[in-house]
Parts: sequence; C-alpha cells; structure tokens
Amino acid sequence: MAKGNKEPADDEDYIDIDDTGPGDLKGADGGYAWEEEYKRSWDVIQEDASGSIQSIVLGINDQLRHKRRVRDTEAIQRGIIRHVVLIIDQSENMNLRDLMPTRIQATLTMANAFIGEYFDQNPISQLSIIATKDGLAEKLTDLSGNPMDHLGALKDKANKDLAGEPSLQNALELAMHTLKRAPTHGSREVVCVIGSLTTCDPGDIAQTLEALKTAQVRVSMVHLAAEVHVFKRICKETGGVFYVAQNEDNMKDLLFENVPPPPIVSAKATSDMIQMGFPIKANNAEVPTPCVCHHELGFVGYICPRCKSKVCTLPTDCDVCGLPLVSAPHLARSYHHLFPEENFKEVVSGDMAVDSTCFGCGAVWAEPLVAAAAAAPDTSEPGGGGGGGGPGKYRCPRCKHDYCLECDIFIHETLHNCPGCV
Amino acid sequence: MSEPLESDPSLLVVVLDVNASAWSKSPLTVGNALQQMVIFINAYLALKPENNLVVLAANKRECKCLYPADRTTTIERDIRVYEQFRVVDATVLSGVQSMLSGAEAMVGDPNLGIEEGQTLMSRALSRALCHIHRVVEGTKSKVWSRMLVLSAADDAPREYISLMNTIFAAQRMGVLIDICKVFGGDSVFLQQAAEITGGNYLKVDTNGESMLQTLMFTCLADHYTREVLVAPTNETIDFRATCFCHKRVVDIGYVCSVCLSIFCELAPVCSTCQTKFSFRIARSESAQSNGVLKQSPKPAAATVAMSSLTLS
Amino acid sequence: MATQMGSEEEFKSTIAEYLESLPAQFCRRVFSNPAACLAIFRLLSTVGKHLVMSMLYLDSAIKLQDVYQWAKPDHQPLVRSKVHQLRKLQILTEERGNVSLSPVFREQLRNALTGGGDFSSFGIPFTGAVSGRVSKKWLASYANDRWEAILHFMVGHSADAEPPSESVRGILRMSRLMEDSAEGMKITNSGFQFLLQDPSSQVWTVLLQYLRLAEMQEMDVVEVLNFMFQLVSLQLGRPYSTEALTRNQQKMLAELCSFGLLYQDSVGAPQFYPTHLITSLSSGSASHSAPLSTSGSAATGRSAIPAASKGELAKPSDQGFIILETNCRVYAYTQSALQIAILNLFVHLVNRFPNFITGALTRDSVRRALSRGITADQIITFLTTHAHPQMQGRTPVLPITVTDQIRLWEQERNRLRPTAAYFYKDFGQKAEYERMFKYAQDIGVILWASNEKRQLVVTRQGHAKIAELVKSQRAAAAAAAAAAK
Repeated sequence: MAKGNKEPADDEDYIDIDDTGPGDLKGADGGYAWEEEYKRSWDVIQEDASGSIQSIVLGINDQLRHKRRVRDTEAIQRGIIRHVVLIIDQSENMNLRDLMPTRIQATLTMANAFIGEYFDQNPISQLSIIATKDGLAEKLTDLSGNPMDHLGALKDKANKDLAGEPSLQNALELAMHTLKRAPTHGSREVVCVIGSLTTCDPGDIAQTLEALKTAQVRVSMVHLAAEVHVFKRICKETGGVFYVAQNEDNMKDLLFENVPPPPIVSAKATSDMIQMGFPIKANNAEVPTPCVCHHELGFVGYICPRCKSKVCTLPTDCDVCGLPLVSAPHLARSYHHLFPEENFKEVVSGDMAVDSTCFGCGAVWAEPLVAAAAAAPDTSEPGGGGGGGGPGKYRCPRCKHDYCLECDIFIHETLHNCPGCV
Repeated sequence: MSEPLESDPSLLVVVLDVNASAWSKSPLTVGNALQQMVIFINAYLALKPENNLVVLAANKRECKCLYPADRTTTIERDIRVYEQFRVVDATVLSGVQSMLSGAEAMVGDPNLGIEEGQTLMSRALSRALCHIHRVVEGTKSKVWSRMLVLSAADDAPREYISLMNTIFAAQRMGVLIDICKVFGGDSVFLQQAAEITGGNYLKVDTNGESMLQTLMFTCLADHYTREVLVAPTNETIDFRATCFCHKRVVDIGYVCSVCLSIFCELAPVCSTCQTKFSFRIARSESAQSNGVLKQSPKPAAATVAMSSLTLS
Repeated sequence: MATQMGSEEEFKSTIAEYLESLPAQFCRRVFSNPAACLAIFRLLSTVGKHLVMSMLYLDSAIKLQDVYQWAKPDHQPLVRSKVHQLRKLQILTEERGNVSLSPVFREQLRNALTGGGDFSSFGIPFTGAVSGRVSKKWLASYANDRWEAILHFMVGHSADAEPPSESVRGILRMSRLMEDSAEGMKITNSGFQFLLQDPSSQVWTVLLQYLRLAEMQEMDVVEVLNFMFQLVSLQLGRPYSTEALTRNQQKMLAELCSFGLLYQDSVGAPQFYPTHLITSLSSGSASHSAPLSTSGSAATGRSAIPAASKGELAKPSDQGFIILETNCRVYAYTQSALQIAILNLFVHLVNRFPNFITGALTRDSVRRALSRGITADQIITFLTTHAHPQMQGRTPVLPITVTDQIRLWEQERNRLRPTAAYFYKDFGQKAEYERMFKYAQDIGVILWASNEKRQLVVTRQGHAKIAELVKSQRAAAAAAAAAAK
C-alpha cells in the first residue's frame, strides 16, 4: 500500500518539477521556495520611459516563447513506432475546480488535443486509454492506430463518471498487460494524468515497478496537484519524466512533451524489419462494398495487398490478416523526428546583417520601426537600431539566414524545414 | 475547423517556377505563361478587394519574393489599367525578368545535388507557408489561404523529405495547394501535394492555350466556392512506395523500425541508418495467429546507399 | 454590399436591383466600359463571380444544364439562383438552352483584367501642378467632416452649423430620409434606419437616390452610371482631370463634392480627388474590418500593400467604441455628438462624461426605436460593427443574452399579424366539414379551426383550391342524386 508522500524524504530525492519554470522548489540561496520572500509575478514588469508596459510584456512573451521551442535537436535514434497507454485518473479528486472548469474536464480536453497531435506526429504508432476509479482500472480502448476510436471513447458520457480513489498499481498492471502484446521494436510507454495524492492498491507497487522495468515500459506522469514520492520514483526509475502542472497552459505543454517520440536509451531495444503493406486506393467500384473495419458501405477504400480485403482509412492494421497498412506519405510524416531542424541562435548586435528582411515571411526588422515610433530612448533593449542584431532576430546556424521569432517558432513546430537550408 | 463563409477573405500565394533551362524545353514560352498568370492574378484580385496576394518565384539557385516587394518600384503610369492590378503586374513581371536574366550571369552553384532542370521547390513552398503563417497570425478574422504553383521543372529527389514536411505543414494549416504543371512528365511530388492538401493538380496541354481558362475554372475558386462547386477529379494517385534498394514498386515491403526506410527484401543491416536487425520479421499477433505468412529471411545486398527516394 | 437593408421599400433596392431593372440596351451601354464591368463584377456574389470567371475565357456557349452540373448536388438551387440573377443583370445571355456571357460584358471585363480597350474608363489622371495640402489624411478628415455634417443635420444637432447645400437637402427629401415640416426639415423613420447603416451602405443609398434624381431630370442614366462606376474604381489620394467629363458629369461632380464623396479645390477646378468614402465602395466596407496585409503586428509590419494605408485613415469614431455588458449596460467611448445622438435612438443614456457616456438598453428605449421602424437586427448590427476592440475578439461579439432580449422585445410588438383569409361556417353535415377540414389540413392552409362549431379559416391561397373541391363534390353529389333518380 503506497501512500502519497508530501514531504521529500531527503535532499537526494527532492523534487525537481521543472527547472525552467518558476516552480523550482529550491531557491537561489539554497532554501526551499516557500521559505523565500514571496515573488509576485508582476514585480518583473516595469514601465518603460513612456509609461507603457506593452513593450516589456511583449519582450517577456517573446523570451518565453523562444525558450519553449528550444529543443534537443541531436540526431538520435528515436522510437518512431510507439505504443502508448494513456492513463486517466477518474477518482473523485478530479472534481476539484483548481483547473477550469474542473480537473477532469480540463484533462479530457487536453487528452483530446493530445490524441490528435499524437497521431498527427506518429502516424504509425498506437494508443490505448485506461481509466482508473474506485480502486480499479478499466480499459476504455485497446491499442489501436485509429484516433477516432479513442476520441469516441473519451466522448462517451459513461466514461466521465468519477468515483472513489484511483489505483495506480492496477492501472499500470493493466497497461503492462496491454503493452505485452506490442512488438519489441516499438517503444512501450505509459502517460498518466493523475489528480489524486493517494493511490489505493491491492499489493506492493514496488513489485509492479520492477515488472515495469523488466518489460521496458517508460512511465511519464503529469500530476495536477503536487508531487508524490511514489509517483515520482516510478517515473524516474522507468526512464520517464514526472511533472506537476501549474495551470491549464502549463498542463498542455507538459502533456504535449510526450508527443514527439522519446529517444531510445535502452540497449536492449531491438530493431526489426517490419513487414508493411502499401495498399492501392480503389474507387472505381460500380456498387458500394462494405469495409472490413467498420462494415460500412462505401465506394472508396484501400485494398490490403495480402488478403485483398477492403479497409476505409489508412494507416491501420488489416482486420483480416493483421498486416500494418500504410501509405508512403505516412512514413514520410515521421521523417522530421529523425532529421530535426537545428535550433536557431538569437542574433546579437555585433553580428553582420545578412538579410534585410526575415528570410521566411519577408517582414522588415522591427527595430527601426520601434525606434521611430517610440522617440524616447529605450534603455532596456540595447543594440536597437543598429541594423545588425537586436531582439526578435534568429539565425539558422547552417544556412546563415535570419528569421523573425514568429517564423522561427513556425519553422520548428509546424514546418520542420529551414527554407534556407533545403 | 469552421466552415468557410462567403465573406471571408482569402490569401493566395502564387509560386512561379522560373527555371530558364526547364522553360527552354517547353513548347509554351515563359512569357506567354506569365501573361496568362498575370491575368489570372488580376482576376483573383478582382474577386474581392480584401483578397491578399503574395507572389514568389524560384529557380534553380534562389527563391525570391516578388510581391509584396521590399522596394517600391517606380512604375510608369498607365491609365488603362486598374491601379491595383498595375502595381502587381509590373512588380511581378520585372521581378521575373531580373531572375531570368540574373540566373545566367551567376557563376558557381551553391546548391549541389540540384540538376539544371530542377527548381528549389521546397524552399519556395516553405517560404510560402511562412508568409501564410504570418498573415494568418496577424489577422484577427479568419483568412483562408491557398497556394498556386506554376511548375515547369522536374522533381528533385533530394527534396523529397523537405517537400513532404512542407506538404504536411500545409495540410495542418488548412492550406490548399493547387498545382499547374506546364509540360513534361507528371511531378510525383507535387501531385501528392495537391492530393494531400485537397487542391487540384492540373496538367496543361502542350501549347498551353487553354491554361488561362483552366486556371480560371479550377484554381480561382476560394474555399467557400469549392464547397459549392464540383472540383475536377484528380487522377487516382498511387501511394505505393518504391523500395530504397532496387527502386521497385512494392505492395508489401519491409520497413526499418528505426529510420523507416523501405526495402523490398529482408536485409541484416539497414543500409540507411546502419542498424543491425534481429533476424525475424516482426508481425502483429493476429498475423501470427492466422499463420498467413511464412517467409524465410534471406540475406540481401544491403550496401546500396540511399541516393534517392521516389514514389511511383 | 447592401445586405443589411431594412424592411422599408426604399432600402430594399440595391444597386444590383437597380441594374436589373434597366432595359437591355441600357445594360449594353453600361457594359461598354471596363471600369463599370469591373465594379459590377465586384457587386456579384462569390459564386456568381466564379461563374462569370469560369466563362470569361470560354469562346463558345455552353449548355445551361452543364452549368448546373458544376454545382455539388446539395448546392444546385444556390447555383440556379445565381445563374438566374446573372441573367437578370444581362450578364448571361441564353440562346436555345446554351448560355454565354454577354459579348460586350465579356470583352470589357477582359479589357479590365488585361488593360485594353477604352483608355479613359479608369479616370484620366491630372498631370498639372497640384497643391501640396491634399494628402490622403487630409482627404479623409475632409470627407468625414462633410459626411458627418450631413448626418448631424439629419439628427437635428447642427443648429449652430450651416445646413448642407440645397442639392443635398433635395436628395434627402426625395429619398424620404427627411421631410419638410413646420419647423424646418425633420428626420423620418427611414432616416433613422439610414443612420444605423454602415457608411458604405449609406453611400450606396445616396448614389441610388442620385440615379433616381437623374432619371427624373431626364439625364442620361447610363452616363451617370458609368461615371459612378468610374469614380468607384479611382485611386485614393490621386488628382484626376475633369477635362473629358460631359456637362452632366460635371454637374454630378459638384453635387457629390457637397456630400464629401469627392473633393475639388474650387468649383470648376481642372482636377478633383476621390475620397475614401467612394473608393472604399469597390474595396468593400473596409472601414470596420481591419485591413489585411502582410503587416501583421504593428511592431514588425510594413505597408507594402496599398490597402494597408486604410487603417490609418479610419477616424477614432470609425473604430469600435461601444462596450455592451450582459446586464444590458452600454459604455461608449466617444465624443462625437453624432454617435451619441445615434446611440440615443435606442439606448437610455444615463451619464455623460467628456469622452465617455454610459447608458442601458431598456425595454422602453428599444421599443421607442422599434416604433420608429428600426429593426432589432439593425440595432444588433450597429452594436456589432461598432463594438470596442476588446469585444471584437469574442464570438459572438455581443452577449447572447442581450441580443436575444432585443429580439424578444421586437417580437412583443409583433403579436398580431394580419393575413388575408376566408371564413367557412354553417356546414350542413359533419362529414362534409371533416372532409373539408382534412383536405385543408393536407394542403396546409388552415389558419384556425373549431370542430365544435364546425368553422374553418383558411388562407387566401387555400380558398381557391377548397372552392374547387366543394364545386366538384357538389357536382358529384348532384350527379349521384340524378343517377339515383
């Protein structure tokens, strides 16, 4: 029976929520965050010469956004073919209203977004959803590559009732059982969204932890309230990450960290050649024929090259012979994980100006405009007006073209291509 | 995504392929094609005063934004043409002229791996998306954006991955990509761009007389109109893959679980990422339980480097 | 363009409807001008535009049925109605089931796109020396002053200012926006509705009235129309020459100047300037929607696109200034006496500060507006288009409770609705009544019925059919009776 451990046991185990955010428990002077003088978020905001706070707010936003998108870009092996179990806490604790409108509503909204994003970025991966309440774990959807199945299950009213205590052990055991079927070449991951500070388990969760380690399951967690020792330990020892969400936006960021495939760390992970079918689209039928996946009549479909049965969407597994069916673009969709774009570096004022405008969108650099608009000297932003560097200018290290922040974020988050390098 | 409304403005990014050597082989001259394109652009601007336009041009070496231009070119006043049209026409035509003439003067080729008849298409499309992103972010109301690519050059296999990234980004942003291929064989890459984003793929007949009519009929329609009117059906595109090792079209292939390279037969080592495979074919459980397939792994020449990846 | 027109007869007629009413030979003459073709083209609906563009470079006629086939099955009726509209406008001509664009229209629209044809249609630029003081900004303030002076005059707040010219008053009177009364001119119900429209609809209304006036004065309507369309496609801030204008056009020029649509240094000056009031007609009602351009945020923007300059021209009063709360309270950041007067039409004003007024939408204040013929939709549209930027971001812009309440207040007034009807009573037999009742029910014409009293009220359309039924039954009964004998 594991219990929520609210106080860190010792300094080794103390909790590191997110070293970028203000949530650091330990302050600069070595004390705990709650021992320090209370920091008000509005203290950092200072009026500029004209009495406006707009420029400084914009500056802070830009910094945050830039920080957020700086990612690890080393070309490492990533498990492109993933098997993820999403565990959702449906205990009574999820009824609290510290996330709007309630924890469970916020979680379900995020889960919907997560599923969409997950399948968009990992088209040949699979997902399963498990809910835990009343000390039990229930599988809402089995491992499947069709986002519609999962979204439908989340929409189902019956799956939204909250009751009793969660059981992490039961949920993890069920997840492990589900993932056992997954082939070894794919990754096995569990992503939990937990709101409860306790877990009501039938046995020793430490044994489950050992089992998880042997089965090479990576457990990551987003907790909605506070850090719990046992949760943190499970994440740490299975190679996952444990986060506490501060607010809705933060929760989204934390959950979405699980969208890109994690790097392969275990040496035991095997690589395989996976047999896949590339079906031909068939839409020349005279009469509608049923598909094997939903048993619905339709003209358009894809013919499994092995068993010649018709499925209606790609990617999927053939329901008759089990062959994974994909189209070549689906494979291409994952390439950007393998060859990530390098982070752009902020241009400092000494650097030579290469482009007179943003190489992406053609926007003229901001400083001259800002300088002209605000005649008062702005001491907080040195280097303004120099023409060479300044805020909001980022340079690709490979092609040496300059981009604005807007394009920088767009290139790394959506496009995955540097227009100058290709 | 919400439904497009009749009053919503649109954003059109026209990407012109001005590869001189590719056009030299075309029965339709570049001048003629541009004339027709300019009329099309005027027609687009005439549709709605709020309509926004960006014109990019790309050749083998560079990709330039012609409109809106950085510098305001002084244009001889011509009272016969509507002001807005004239500004666009003059900027676009002079921009293309300078690119066509400038291309020959330039020496040294910074873009290795791109052959003479190929164009920096993925760079042009990437920049087009950056422009679209900027306009969409900077506007409060909904803007429906689409792209029109006038393509003459052949596909550059080197661009496959970047082009695919661009296409998926466009798909996520709800950007339609219309393709107008002027001559030569079908562009497999651009065909996929149109198919995946829901745009049209047009092939202009040899002398290009009907190009303008075809453009007016199919590519002028905005998102709203496309909901109402029937789009010309694209030919079915074969999404089957070509293997990396023998460039054969495969129905059932083997995919490296690490780098997703496609092979037509089993190999001990992935030729792309050098991963050593465990000697068994991974199959999902149901396949094993059905026992449909028994195939003995045979070693294959795995030394073929990945030089290009094409799709049939 | 003028879709938010009210219920009154005058407001229904849009410029398109006016064109439809023109005889064919007039249309052909209007079409002989590329600028007019382009302006008319821009007035069409999106689908209509697309149909025209699809046929613009087709050389041969195509089957009407084929045009219908362009539409997806669900949207067939829409496309049919658009084709019908194009035919009414004489843009499409039909011949033995084949349709094609009117040859004149096709040629001139092509010219407009390619820059051929009649060279003066887009205005002749003035090349002589011009005074430096006419800038876009200056023109904007000039036009706004002029236009608002007229609106002020309408709401009767311009006692100290001089009244507008006789021609302006003539048009206001003729369009029945104002009428003469004992104490000078008084605003009418339609005048109140006019005030609530967006500026471009107001300008169109004035131009339409001008056309009517021209008709009455037996001026050449085509000449007036062509000049009007030419003005619409002029470029803001440029001087244009008056040289080639006819006498009628000169006259029109002077009158439009008094509305602030155009500017002339002096009467009879060799050049004139269009103001944003008239040029924005061709570029849509851009005064409220933020102009689109690549200048995304102000910090990194630029104004390479000419349209981007429009934002600078908008006066503060043109931007949104009204905040409406869910409790029906209204806060308006405005100093303009005109805007306050307009708000006073339907808002119960409470406090007035130097740059800010507060008030509330109450049942009485809204009913007062409704009794003046202003519709709930007009109030809602006005509040929506003038909503404060803080409110613009939301969907819907206005609190839904308030918009519903305004509509409910309107419905309160519409409890009685007259319908022409026929009353049937004194049925001889129950069976006869029931037969009739059932028949009337089947064709859906019953307004009221009472089974006990055997009485029935049907609509006028239903009466004819029921009378037929009665007649045939009587005849059948008579025949049966005759046969029985």
